[in-house]
Amino acid sequence: MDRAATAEKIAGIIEPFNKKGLEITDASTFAGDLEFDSLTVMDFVAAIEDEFDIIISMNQQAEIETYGQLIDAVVKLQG
Amino acid sequence: MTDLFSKFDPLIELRTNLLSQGQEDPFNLVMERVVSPTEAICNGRQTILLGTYNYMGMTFDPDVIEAGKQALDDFGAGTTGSRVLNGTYSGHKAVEEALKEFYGMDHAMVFSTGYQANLGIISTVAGKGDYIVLDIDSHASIWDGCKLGDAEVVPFKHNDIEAMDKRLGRIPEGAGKLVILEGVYSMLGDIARSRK
Repeated sequence: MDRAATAEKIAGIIEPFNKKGLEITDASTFAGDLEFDSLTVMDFVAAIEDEFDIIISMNQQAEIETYGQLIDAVVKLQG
Repeated sequence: MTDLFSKFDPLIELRTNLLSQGQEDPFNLVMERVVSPTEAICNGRQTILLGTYNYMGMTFDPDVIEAGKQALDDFGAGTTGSRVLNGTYSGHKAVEEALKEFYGMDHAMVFSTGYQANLGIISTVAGKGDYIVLDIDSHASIWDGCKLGDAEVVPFKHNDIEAMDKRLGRIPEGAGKLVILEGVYSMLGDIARSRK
């Protein structure tokens, strides 16, 4: 799946987690802008993992701060 | 001026405010006298002990106390230091033999605390390139052991065996896998669905 198609799917997944209805860009941060707490992160990551049938380990999650970085990581993990 | 300790400023302020309102400092509780396995005098008050490590009710067992006194007489008040460098006390070896027999296992290793056990075993068994699949509500010592070993850490939703199974299925073929569940979860007090 290319970046555009991946981004579109992720946009659908993040919607219910975007409680404040913020406009999300590639530069949006999960901890800062979206105010995800650790439980939200876990549920969100699990939803992404199940959708794309991938693993995003905690080690990899630590490298992902922004929405754009997440899309890039998911594109890469799909191989 | 900000420095290494500046990040603790909000915590210090919170503590100072609480104490100034007459709150007792929870980090300064002193156990002056132990009355029984479940009671002590703390800060001058009779206090029920619910969180101490007396799970087996052995703290005042006469045999245990007698053996402890004997060990002090025979071996003194120290340890050998590292067992790898200096060896292991015969008593500690005997404990391991007894546990081995009790659990019907081939090997047993005793650590001085549960925290140390998880740190030592997990970080040794699962190293770089291996995968650890664990319940998200695992004890802090398990998380620390995972971090120390540098393995890929993959958590799953608490007690969700299906979520665990899915993640196990996604691990690259040939990679080392370690699954960590707890018998009784210390965070929540519930039990692993290990029979499934």
